[in-house]
Amino acid sequence: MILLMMIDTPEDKRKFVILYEKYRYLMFKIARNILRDPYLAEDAVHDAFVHIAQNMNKIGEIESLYTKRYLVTVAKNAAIDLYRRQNRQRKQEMFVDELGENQLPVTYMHTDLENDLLDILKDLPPKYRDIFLLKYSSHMSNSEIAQLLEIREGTVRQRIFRGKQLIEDALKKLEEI
Amino acid sequence: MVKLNDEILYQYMPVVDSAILHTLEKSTDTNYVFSASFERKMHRLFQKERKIEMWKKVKKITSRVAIFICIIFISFFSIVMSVDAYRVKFFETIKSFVSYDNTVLFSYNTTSSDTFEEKTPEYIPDSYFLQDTHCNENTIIRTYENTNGEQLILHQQAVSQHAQNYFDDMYDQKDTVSMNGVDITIQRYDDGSVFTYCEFHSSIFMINANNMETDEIKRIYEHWIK
Repeated sequence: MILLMMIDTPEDKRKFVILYEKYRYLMFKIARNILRDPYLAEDAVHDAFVHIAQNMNKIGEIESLYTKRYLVTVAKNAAIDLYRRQNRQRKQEMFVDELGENQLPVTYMHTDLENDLLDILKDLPPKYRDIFLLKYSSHMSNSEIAQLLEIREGTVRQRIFRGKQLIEDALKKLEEI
Repeated sequence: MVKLNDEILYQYMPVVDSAILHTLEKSTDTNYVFSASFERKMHRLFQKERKIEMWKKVKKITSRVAIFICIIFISFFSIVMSVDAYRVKFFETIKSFVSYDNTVLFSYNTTSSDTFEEKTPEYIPDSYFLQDTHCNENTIIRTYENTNGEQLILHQQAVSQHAQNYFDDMYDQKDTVSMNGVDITIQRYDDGSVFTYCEFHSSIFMINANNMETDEIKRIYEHWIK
């Protein structure tokens, strides 16, 4: 057992705690926006960290965009699961524009990319936007996304296809203006 | 105007992602004081998280060590063991068990050529989540754990020629319950843990749990062996 304990480096041992110290407030905010109750939000954050503990192998650099997006997604899922249990909507998939992200004024990092397209992507409905973020920002595979969001892989593919249609429709409307 | 393709999405989505996360982080209240009960639960989770990683490593090693020890154990006690050879016709399989000291060895000799048909458990008690799956051509072992650190292991093994299972007889209580015409043997131990065994078609279905009521066990089997 002593040998096994020595296999873990001090960095690996502390990583989970560092993630907690760094991201607990953000995850709490996400959960509270969904659940509206601070104690339930704490339960959701705890559930989220239980999931993260099981999947530490998926966590890379603590400060990376991938890690932040992963933690945000896990927290959101945990809150939605708890909301579902509270409201006895076990079988229903939930879509809550819980963060009001579409209403949040965002500032894009200095970029030459067209702001119009960035806004279109940002304003996608959450059920499409979340998948696009996981696939095209976090570089997750469809099966990883399905597992994380607890939906079928076929559903992931359909939403990517439908999301692209929504984006192209929005681009066409912009061209007409 | 930009033409949409995956290359564009890989270029644009990280910018959107970064902007959204940055906005969220800016508006996050870091002055919130988490409750004492939450901090206690998280402290326990810190300890469990370290154990989870250790347990994964220990399982890999101990599974090999256990087999090696059993071989040594049987060889050492073969001269003093009392042999109660008991042959049971199990469909096309002859099952013998030999008991010695505190170990019972089940051996299977079968003429069945059925291929391994994996049965997926369709009911798992609330609060348990899948932690690990180990499978090969004849076996699948699913390990679940709940937030209290209690484990539930579902093990399906094909009855193949020369397959063997080692069980102990140090249980405190042994019952047999029937579920849809199938007998389930339930062994309970003084530490609250439970082991169950059931034969169905050409497989053996076993459950190891830290803590589980009989009704819950029957419900798991009801939605597992069909």
